Amino acid sequence: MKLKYLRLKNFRRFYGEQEIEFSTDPNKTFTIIHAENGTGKSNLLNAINWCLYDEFVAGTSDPDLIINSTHELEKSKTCSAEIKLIVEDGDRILTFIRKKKINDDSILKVYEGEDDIPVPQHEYRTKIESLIPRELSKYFFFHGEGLKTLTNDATNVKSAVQDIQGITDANEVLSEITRNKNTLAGKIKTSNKSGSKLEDLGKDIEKLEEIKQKKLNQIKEDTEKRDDINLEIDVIDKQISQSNVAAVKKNQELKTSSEKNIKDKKGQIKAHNLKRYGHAQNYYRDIMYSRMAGKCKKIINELQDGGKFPADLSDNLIQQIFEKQECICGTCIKVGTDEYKKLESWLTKAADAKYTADVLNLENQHPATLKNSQIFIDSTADHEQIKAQLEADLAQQQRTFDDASEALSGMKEDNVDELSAQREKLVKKRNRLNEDIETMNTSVRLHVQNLSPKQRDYEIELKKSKVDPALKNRYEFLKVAEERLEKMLSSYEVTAKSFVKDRINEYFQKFATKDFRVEFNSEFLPSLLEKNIKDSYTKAPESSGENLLKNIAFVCSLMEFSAQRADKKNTSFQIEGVKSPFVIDAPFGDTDGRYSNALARILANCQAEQIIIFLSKKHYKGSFESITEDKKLVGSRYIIDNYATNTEKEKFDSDEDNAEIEINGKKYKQMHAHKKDFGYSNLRQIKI
Amino acid sequence: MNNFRDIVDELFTDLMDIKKMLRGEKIRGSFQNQARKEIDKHLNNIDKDTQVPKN
Repeated sequence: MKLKYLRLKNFRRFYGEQEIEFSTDPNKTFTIIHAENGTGKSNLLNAINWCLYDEFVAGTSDPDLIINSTHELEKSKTCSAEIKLIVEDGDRILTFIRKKKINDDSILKVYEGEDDIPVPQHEYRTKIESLIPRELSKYFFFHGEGLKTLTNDATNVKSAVQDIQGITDANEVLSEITRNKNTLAGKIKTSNKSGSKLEDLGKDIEKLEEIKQKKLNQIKEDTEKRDDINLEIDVIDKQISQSNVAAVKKNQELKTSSEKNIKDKKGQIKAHNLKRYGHAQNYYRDIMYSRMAGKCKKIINELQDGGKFPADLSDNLIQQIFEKQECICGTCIKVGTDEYKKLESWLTKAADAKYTADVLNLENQHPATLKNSQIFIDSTADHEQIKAQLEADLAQQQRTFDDASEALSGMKEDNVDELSAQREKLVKKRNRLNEDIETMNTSVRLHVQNLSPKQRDYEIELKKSKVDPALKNRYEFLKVAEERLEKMLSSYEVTAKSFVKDRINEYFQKFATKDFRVEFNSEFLPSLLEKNIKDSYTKAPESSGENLLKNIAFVCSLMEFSAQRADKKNTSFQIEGVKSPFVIDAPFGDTDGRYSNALARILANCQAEQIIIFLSKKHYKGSFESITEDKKLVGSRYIIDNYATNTEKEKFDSDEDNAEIEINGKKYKQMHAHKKDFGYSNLRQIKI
Repeated sequence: MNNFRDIVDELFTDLMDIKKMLRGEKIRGSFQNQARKEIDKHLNNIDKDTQVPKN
């Protein structure tokens, strides 16, 4: 099934009539919708959900707000919202139009074929269910925020595997068979004489079943509570992300980083100047050395030519001074005077081979001097250029620092302390509930283990007893039906789990940033293992990036399994598999570049027939852009133009980075100033 | 006499059909009630013409 066309009329933030033609090209599977936070990304996902299922994705703020506020102000009592969705499923074309007038419930109309032949109302649900069963829609029309927690608890994972295997209905059938079997057990108990072994076993089983049921009910209740809390946490997260806390944090980070950069740049300029000074010192010292070395070289050469070496020269010279008792400088040298002692010591030193070697080495100074001169000349050549660049960088950092300081001085941080505290409380409550659910699940498993031998004994006693044979037959029939269905469902689950497991590991092998492996525990909860020294795998720290990677691989695996089932003949116990488009709202969260790259590669390689993705500039630029554009995967592209209110505008102005977006070398403005007090969004097609 | 496996499968198929009809909104009401009626119908049939083979 593929989405062909979506038209929105005054739906939530979308004012007037807006439309999207999705790419249905099998080689260009991507439709990208570029949109910044708060401009209606999630509303597009909601438009599809609302049109088909009359509901919004979990965690949507203001779910009662359907009609666009601007339109409502203009038209008041006659205002309405409408979504038209056209899908193609093989040869079938179906058109869904849902309309809501103010003060009325929404009404759905369904048409089939190119000629829009009306479908009878009683077939609407069947038509929709045949495209995407409601319980599967949450995996295919996917709200990215849900990715964070998707594989965090066993109940979610178990439901996902059951949903995707199409056995949710069969599970309910099993529950009803068990319920009726237990009712029969009650009847057997009352018809049986008291005090018998059968009665005692029946009572034991009844007691255990009662406790088991109580625990199951408690699990169900706690799971519902936990899910409600998760929704509340999602809403708080959204409120926090939409507050100016992010902008304040960003400016504080900019201020701190630019302050550090200024210090670094100043240090670099100082070091650069010192380097030149050092080279200059070497150079000037070497000029002197060079002259001395040159002269020494000449003297040494002459001495060598005359068969004399410095030590001989000194020896002869000092011997002559001693003989004449007069130095060449005119000093009188007599035995015992200080001058005489000095000359004697020089004579000893001059005879030392080390000094002779030092003098001889002077001639080697010459090439080194030439080399140092060259270094100095080179460093002088680009010194000014490098210095100018460093000074320009310093000025840029200073500007960033000043801008961030100015922005911060005019910005009063929204108080989200209360929200954060509330969130903290909810997280604790949720974690407690999760622990309770896990404990109760273990306890239920133990109960089932205790029940099995008692049930076997009960059946043996039942056969021996004088209970009404018809009642016995009925009980045995339901017992066998129950066992048979349990066995079948468990085999379906094994197939689904094995597929998902292999596929996730395949994704990780190909696209993970490190050497990871995914392992599943007895409750099929996936956890990440990282390769360590000696090729051993140990539990990996689950940063949000790795978690997202694991969860997106999980969703892609579920989707592929469903598509694979759509091609196969299913048993009568399974809802048919579907090949659905993958509509995903911002799957990247706060991941850094490494994970964005892996996520983009997983999405680009997942076997969905159509991918419709809503992306902010931050998440499009870089990995996603290069992967989709290089492979020419994009068949259709839209920008959500945001017309901000005065209040919103201030927020957007502080985030100039998002004012425009560059796509394939062309810049597009996506934030627009708007003087009125209500904001709205429009869709703009970008030619491929 | 019906084969035992067939009777169980018939029950499954009938119950699944009810689920499908409820899903497609072709019938309304609770699955629990509809399932109880269907199971009773099958149990009455085994009373009439089936002997459940011993396991």
